[in-house]
Amino acid sequence: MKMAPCWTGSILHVDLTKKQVEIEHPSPEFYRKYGGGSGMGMYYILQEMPPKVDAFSPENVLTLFIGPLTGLPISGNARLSANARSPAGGAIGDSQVGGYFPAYMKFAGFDGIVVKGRATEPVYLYLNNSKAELRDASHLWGKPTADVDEILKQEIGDQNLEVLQCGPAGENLVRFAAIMTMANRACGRTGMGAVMGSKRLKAVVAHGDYKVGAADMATITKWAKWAVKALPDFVDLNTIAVYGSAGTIGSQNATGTFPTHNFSQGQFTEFENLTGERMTDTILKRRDTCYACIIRCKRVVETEYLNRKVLSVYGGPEYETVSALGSYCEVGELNAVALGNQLCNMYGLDTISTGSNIAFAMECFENGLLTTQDTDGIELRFGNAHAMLEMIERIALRKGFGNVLAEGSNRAAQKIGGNASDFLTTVKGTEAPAHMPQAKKTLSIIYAVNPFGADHQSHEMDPIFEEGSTFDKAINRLAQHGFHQIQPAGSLNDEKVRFTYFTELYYSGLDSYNLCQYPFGPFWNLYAADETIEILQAATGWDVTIEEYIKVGERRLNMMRAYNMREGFDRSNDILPKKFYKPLVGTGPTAGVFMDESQLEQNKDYYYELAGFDIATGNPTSEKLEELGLDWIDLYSHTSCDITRQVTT
Amino acid sequence: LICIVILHAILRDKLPPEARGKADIDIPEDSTIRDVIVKLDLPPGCLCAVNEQIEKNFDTRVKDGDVLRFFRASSGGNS
Repeated sequence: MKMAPCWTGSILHVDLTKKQVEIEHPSPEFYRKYGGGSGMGMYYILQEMPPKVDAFSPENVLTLFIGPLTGLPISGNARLSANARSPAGGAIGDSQVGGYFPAYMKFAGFDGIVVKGRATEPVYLYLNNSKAELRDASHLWGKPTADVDEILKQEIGDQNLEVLQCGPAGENLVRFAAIMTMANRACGRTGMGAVMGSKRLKAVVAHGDYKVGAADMATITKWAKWAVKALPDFVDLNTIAVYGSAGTIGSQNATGTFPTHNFSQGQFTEFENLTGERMTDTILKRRDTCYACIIRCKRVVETEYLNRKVLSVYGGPEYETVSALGSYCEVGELNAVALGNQLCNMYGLDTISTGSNIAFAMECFENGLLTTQDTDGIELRFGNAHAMLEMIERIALRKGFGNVLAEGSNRAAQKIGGNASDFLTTVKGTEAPAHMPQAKKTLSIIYAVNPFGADHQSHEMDPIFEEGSTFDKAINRLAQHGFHQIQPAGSLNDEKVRFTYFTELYYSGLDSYNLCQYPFGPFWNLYAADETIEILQAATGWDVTIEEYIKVGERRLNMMRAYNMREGFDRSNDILPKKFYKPLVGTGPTAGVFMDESQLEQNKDYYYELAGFDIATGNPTSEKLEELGLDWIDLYSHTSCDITRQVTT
Repeated sequence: LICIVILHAILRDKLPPEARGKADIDIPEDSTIRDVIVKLDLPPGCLCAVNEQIEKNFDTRVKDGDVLRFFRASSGGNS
C-alpha cells in the first residue's frame, strides 16, 4: 500500500523528562487502520502508558493527533484530538479543538505528537519544517492565553504561526482545565489542559511550508465549492453558521431542554436574553472560522460588564458556554456570560465544567450545605452574575473556595458532605453538557456508557429520528443506514438503542478521522456518508468504504473501553447521577419528566449486546478485539482499581 | 385575525430584517398552524409552540392573539 499524500508520515515522540524528541514514520497500514485523531492517540496510550498511573504522573501519556483531511482546502478539516488519562475522573480523556493550529501542525510536518514525562522547568515545543525542539517557557508561565500567543509570535518573529497551550488553569492543575488554540478555541473536556500543565509543557508552536497533498485534489475542490452553494439549503447547519451554536437556544428552551438551575428544570425565564439571535443583534462584531471552513460558526464579540471590557481576541460564547455560565447558574445577562467566556478562555478553563461546578455549588449554597463562611463571603446564589464571575477566577487561580471547585464537583461533593452528591451532574467525573437526557432519551445511554463520561458529541441526538422533528433529507439518509421506521417523540426502545450505537460508531469515526461534526455527519450535515467516503478516498487514494469507516470508529471505541477496563472501570461505572432520575421542575413540556433507572439498565444490556461487549461487565471481549485487529491489547493484565471508583459514584 | 409569530434562528430570514424575528400577521379566520407555515414559507421539519405550549397537530386552528413560536429541533453543538 502506498502512503496517502494527505499525511506527512511523521509522528513526533517527546520525552519531557529526558528532554528528547524522536520522529517515527509508521506504515501506511497503521494510518489506514486507526484513521487518525483519537483513534491513533488511543493506540499510543495503550502501547506506552503503564497501567494505574495518576493523571498528573509524568507517566501519563498525552497525545495530540490530527486527521487525513487536516490542512486540505475543505470545510471541517481543521480538528485536533487530545487524549490522556483524565484528571477529572480517572477514565480515558478525550477532547477535540479547531482553529488553525491543526492545519499548521501538518504544515510544520507532523501528523501526531506523543508526549510523556515531565519537564523540570516550563518548556514549549517548537515545530517547524519537520524539525522539533524544546525551548524554555519560564517567561510564559502564569500569563493569560492571549498574551502567550502574542509573546510567542513576537519573539519567534512570525505572526503566521499557531499556538496550542494550557492556560494558568492548566498550570494550576484545575482538573477541568482546557487546551486552548487562538486563545478562543478550547479542547475543553476532560481536563487535558491540566495534564499538559502537569508536564510543564506550556505550549506547542507550529508553522512551516509542508504542502498537504491529495490523491485526487479535483474531487476535494469539487466538494469544497459545492458546499458554498449548498449551505443555505441545510437549514440547521445554516442556523449555526449565521447565529452560532447559541442559535439553538430558542429551540432548546421551547422544548424544555435548556438545562436551568443546575439541570433541575428545562426552561429558563430569561432565555431570550441569551439567544444567538440576541448576540447577533447586540454584541457580535464578526463571525470567525477555522482553517479553510466556509461555515464561519465561531463568534467574536465585544462588550463590557462591571466596567471590564470583553475583548474580541477571546472570541465569543458557544451554546454550551451560554448554558453553563448562563442558564445552569440562572444568569440571564448576556454581557456577564460573555465576560465569563473571556475569563475561561484567558485562564484556559472548560466552560462547561466551570459553569457546572459553580451551579453545583449554588445548589449546595441554597440548600444550606455551604454558607458565606465557606465561600469567601460570596453569596453563591442562582442568578448572581457577580458570584459566577468571581468564582471563575477563584477556580482558575485555586483561590479560597475556588480551590475546592478546582478539584471538580465529584471531589467537591465529598468535601462538602451531607447530600451534596444529590446535586451532581457528573458521569465518570465529567460534568454533563447542555443537553438533557431526561428529554432526549438516547442521551441517557450515551452519557452512561461513553468511555470519557457525559458527552454531547458522541452520537446523534433523538430529534432527527423522531416524528415531528425530522425531515425528508434526513429520512432518506436514515434509510441508507437501515433505519426505516421513524420513532415516536420521546420514545426509548430497542430501535432507539440500535440508532444510538450506530451513530456512536459514526461519531467515533468522525473523531478518528478528525472531521468537524458540523459539516460532516450522518444526517443533517453537508457531507453525509457518501460524500464523506468520496472525500476520504480522494484525500488518501485508498478505497475506503463506509464499512471501513465504521470499523475505524469501532476500533477507537473498543480501545477506549479497553483502557478503562485496564484502569478498573466496568458496567458499574456506566451510570447516571441521581439528579437525572428525579422529576424535572419548572415549566414547559419536560416538567415532571425523569429517567427510569431500571429502563436504562435494560437499554444497557442491549447496547452491550450490539457492541459485542460482555453484558455482565460492559467490557470488551477478546473475541471482539481480535475481530478488530486489536488482539495486541492485554485485557487481563491489570484490572484492580482504587481511586477511580471513589470519584465515579 | 391577528396572531403574533416569533421565528427563531435562521427562520428569522422569512421576515424583514427589521422585524428581528417577531411580527403580527393577519390571517383569515379558521386558519391553522399549517396555513401559517405555508404563508411564511417555513421549511419542513419546523416545530411550533402556541402560547408557549408545544403543539404537534398543525391542523390546530389559530385564535386571535395567539403567540406562535416556530423553531427547528436542535441536535448538538460544539463547546
